[in-house]
Amino acid sequence: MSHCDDIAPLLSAYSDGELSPLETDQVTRHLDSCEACRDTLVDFVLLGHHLRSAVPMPSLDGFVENVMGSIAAERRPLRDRALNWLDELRGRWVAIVSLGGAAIATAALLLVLAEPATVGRLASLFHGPANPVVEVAKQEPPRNPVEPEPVAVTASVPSNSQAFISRLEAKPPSVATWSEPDNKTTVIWLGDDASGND
Amino acid sequence: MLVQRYQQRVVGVARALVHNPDDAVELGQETFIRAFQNLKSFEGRSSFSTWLYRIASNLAIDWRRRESRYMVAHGEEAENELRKIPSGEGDSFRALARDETSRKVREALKELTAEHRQVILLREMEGLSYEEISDILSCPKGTVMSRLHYARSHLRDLLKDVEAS
Repeated sequence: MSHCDDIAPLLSAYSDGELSPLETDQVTRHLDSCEACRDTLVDFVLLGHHLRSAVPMPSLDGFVENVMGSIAAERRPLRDRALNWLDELRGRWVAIVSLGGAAIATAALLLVLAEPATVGRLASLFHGPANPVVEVAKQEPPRNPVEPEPVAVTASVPSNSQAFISRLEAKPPSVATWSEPDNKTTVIWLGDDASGND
Repeated sequence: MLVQRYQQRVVGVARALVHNPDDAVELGQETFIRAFQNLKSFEGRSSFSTWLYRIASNLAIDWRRRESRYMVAHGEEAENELRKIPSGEGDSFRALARDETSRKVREALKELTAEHRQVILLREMEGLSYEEISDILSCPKGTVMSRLHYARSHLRDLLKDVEAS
């Protein structure tokens, strides 16, 4: 038979049904033969009753409505949330495009600074070659064996001067064609030999 | 609805920790709002109710810390807070006797330490299991058991004449 000192600490949990089956059986057998422990157990049960009477539940009027109101205030309609999401997305795209453009511009600038020759190449793409290019035209077969063979030379000057020599023949008959697009002027120069004054 | 189903328990848990009924109701409402906001974080490792009570207890503990409203066991504040708890109604002799008993019970509750008062209120008022109480108070189940035993024994001694009446 168990001693009261061993059983007393278990009575509270016994009244709550929180003991293991073995402990429950042990306390039950003790209570069968111990009136003092039975009284203690009854007091514990009554104590719970008194507590529930003495400390009533606070009024919960409007509790559910208040909670649901607060939640509804947080939870905006789907349409509002979708529009907000699109706004955020748009903001992100603008940022991405701006950053991308800035990165490309920076890369181009660095490329130009790192390779000065690139400047010339880029310029030629838009304005033609920086230095005059002289081309020797393909020679045609002589039409008259007596006449000196003409050498046709075409040349151009930097386009930023706008004027250019479209044809220049150094040997007789000397001919030079000088164009100035700005003035819409074309000058055709003929040497004495070619003028027929001879 | 979940709010309807758990409101009483949630407010009860908060009340066991803060005691002031108005604060408890406010904390109870805040508990459901927090639960709604953090529903995705509920992983199902504990029951939904335990998760809810833990939120309530965390909020109540934060509340006490933040507002310095923690009711000391023997302070004047504790007395004032407990006086706010409404007593029974009616003017019959039986009602008066009930009021007197309730007053003595509330006086006796003030004699307990905060830890002992918490466990006995969570158990007797809210009917929570030892497991749930240990979860809420973050202490071992054995501690809950021993605190409850002490709280009941102490209250029993204090209310000996009430028990006899």
